[in-house]
Order: sequence, then C-alpha cells, then structure tokens
Amino acid sequence: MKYLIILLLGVAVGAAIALGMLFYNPLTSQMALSPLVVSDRQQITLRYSAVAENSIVFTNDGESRVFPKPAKVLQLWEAPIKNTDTLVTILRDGRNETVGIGVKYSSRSERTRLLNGKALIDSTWYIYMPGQGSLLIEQSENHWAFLREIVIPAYWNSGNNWRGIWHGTITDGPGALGTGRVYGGSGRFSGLDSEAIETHTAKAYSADVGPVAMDGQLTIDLSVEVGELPDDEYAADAVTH
Amino acid sequence: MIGVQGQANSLPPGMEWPDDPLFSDVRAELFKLRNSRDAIVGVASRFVLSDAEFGDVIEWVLYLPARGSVFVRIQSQPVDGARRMGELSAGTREFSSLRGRVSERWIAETSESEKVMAGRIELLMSFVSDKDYVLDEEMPE
Repeated sequence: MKYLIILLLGVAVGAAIALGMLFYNPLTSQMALSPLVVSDRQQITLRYSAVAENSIVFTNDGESRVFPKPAKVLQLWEAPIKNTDTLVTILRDGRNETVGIGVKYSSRSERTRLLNGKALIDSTWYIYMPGQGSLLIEQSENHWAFLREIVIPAYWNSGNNWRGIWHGTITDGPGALGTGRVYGGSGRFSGLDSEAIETHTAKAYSADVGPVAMDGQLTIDLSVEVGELPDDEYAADAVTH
Repeated sequence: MIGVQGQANSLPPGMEWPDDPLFSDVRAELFKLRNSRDAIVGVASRFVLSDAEFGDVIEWVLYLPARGSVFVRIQSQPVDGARRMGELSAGTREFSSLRGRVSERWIAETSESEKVMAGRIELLMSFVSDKDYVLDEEMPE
C-alpha cells in the first residue's frame, strides 16, 4: 500500500511538473516583432472584429465554445469539415472606413505540437475590395501565446473571464520569417505575389463564449509584383513605414 | 449563405448583409463542397463580381481542410450557353504547384414545387503540376 501511494504521488508530481514546464517554457515565447512591422515597403492594413457576434456569418461544428451566427446558419458537422470555422466579415481600412469583405476559413492543423509551443491553425483568407480587386492569403497561425496568456487565465479566473490588453502576431508561416503568403486575384492585385501577417488585439475573453472584445488586423505587403501601381487615392490608405 | 443586396428573404434567416452601396454589385455565396462521390470534402465561397474597374468575373475559393485551397477565376459569360470557363489563379499546400482550367455548370434538379429553384453547381477541374517528376526507371541506382 505504501508503494502504491508513493507511485501515485510520483505520477501526480511528475504530471504537475510536466504541465508547469509546458506552460512556462521560455523557449516557446512568441516572437514580439514581425518582419513586416519593421518593413519600409508599401503596405495596406485591413481591420475586422474577431468576435463572431460582430460578423456577417460565422459557422463551425455547432458544438464549440463560439456559437454560429446567425443561429440558423448551416453548421459544419460532417467529419471532414468538423474542425473548420468559416467567417464572413466586413473589412475596414486604417481610417475605419469599410473597404471590403473577407471570408476566412480556418481549421486545426495536424502539425500542432503543444510541447513545442505550436498550437497551429491553417487558414485561408479571400478578400474582395470593390474598385480595387481581390486576393487570397494563405497562412499558418500559432495560437499558443493566445492560449497561454488569455484562454488559460480565463479558465483560472473565478469569473471565467479575462480582461486586459493583449496584442500579438498569430501568423507563423508558411514564409520562413513567419509571414503568410499572398496571391493576387483581380484588379490592381492581379499578379501580386507577396506576404502578409495577421495580428490580434484582445481586451476581453470569456471561458464560456470565447472572445468578447477582440480585433484582427491584416497587414499586406504590396511591394512585390503588383499588376498596377496604386493611384493617389489608394496611396492615402497605404501604410508606409 | 447567399449575400446580395435587395434580397427579400435572407439566407440563412437572420443574416444581415451590409447595405453599403460599395457592395451593390457583389453576390457572395458559401457552400459545402462535395466530391464526385457526393461526399463532403470542404467548404467553398463563390463571389460574383461586377466591378466597374475590372469587369465581370466569378471567383471561387475551395477550402479543403488538411489539403489546401484552390483559388479559381471564371469568366461570367458562358461559352456554350451553359458552361463557364476559367482557370486556376492560385493553389496552396498540395495545390501550390498546379495549374489548369476549370469549368462551372448549373445542373437543375427536379423539385416538388416548380416555384422553387433547386439544383447544384458542378465544377470540373483539370490540373497539371509544374513539378518535374522522375520516373522509377530513371532513378540512379
């Protein structure tokens, strides 16, 4: 009996140490600065609300923490798409003016390795900006920092929520420097082959319903092989560092 | 989902499509994507764009989880009265090295009520890879 108790205590202590090392692993800290942030190339920024309730349409398997919107939208419950979310949202520019519509598909990645600080999501954005054109963004997102600094503290909190200010880059690839890839479609973006990153700014999170106050921002590099140079009006929206 | 301005009944019910004039010439649709065996393999969006800047075009994004995405642009005018033709604009992950053509066709299906339009959209894709593959017999021993 004594040995059994010692064994169980050893397992419990070992598990606690493993979880502690996983949670506080200093080698998994998120890169604070994206290469696009310090780039001097021409960029555009697009902002959206990352709260499903503020979207035009959001759907998932219907069993997740975040509820579909509107309630009667078809849910993605079939096995091949069960881990996929689809978001349709308005996109705004740096002056908070509506400039387009974005559709974001995202699904849990089979390359997730929590021990390495990789909570990965594969996502694809389709963006259409009337009068300007369309483009596609492919990216791999790492949500480990978001999980560690917001989601887990929200569960630990007695009120099941988190409040504060968190800002982080979620794009983790496929570019070597942690940038997503941009493919031009129509209009002025035709022929574009470039890079982008997505950042999130969270202010409130609920363990019961997910993000309560959170914005997303896409920063898209326009400097590589754009089919047509931006006109003056467009240049006003462009952010040049 | 069907997002278009001036729609009497929104689909899905309760959806509020933006009434901004900016989107007056856009029709957006979301679908579940089925393969030729009628099994669901992904989700897709179809945008019909009538843009004063660059004309009329239909853009599809086919998202297949764990495989990648296919971005397709199709001319809005049918070539034979029924079939629209287009090409692969970009592919991601396992579709990244592909190029080829795509056709879109509406296939009407019988409905109990003749007033209800029913059917499906068929996409036929013919892709080839840009990669050079080495046949087994060409591999050095």
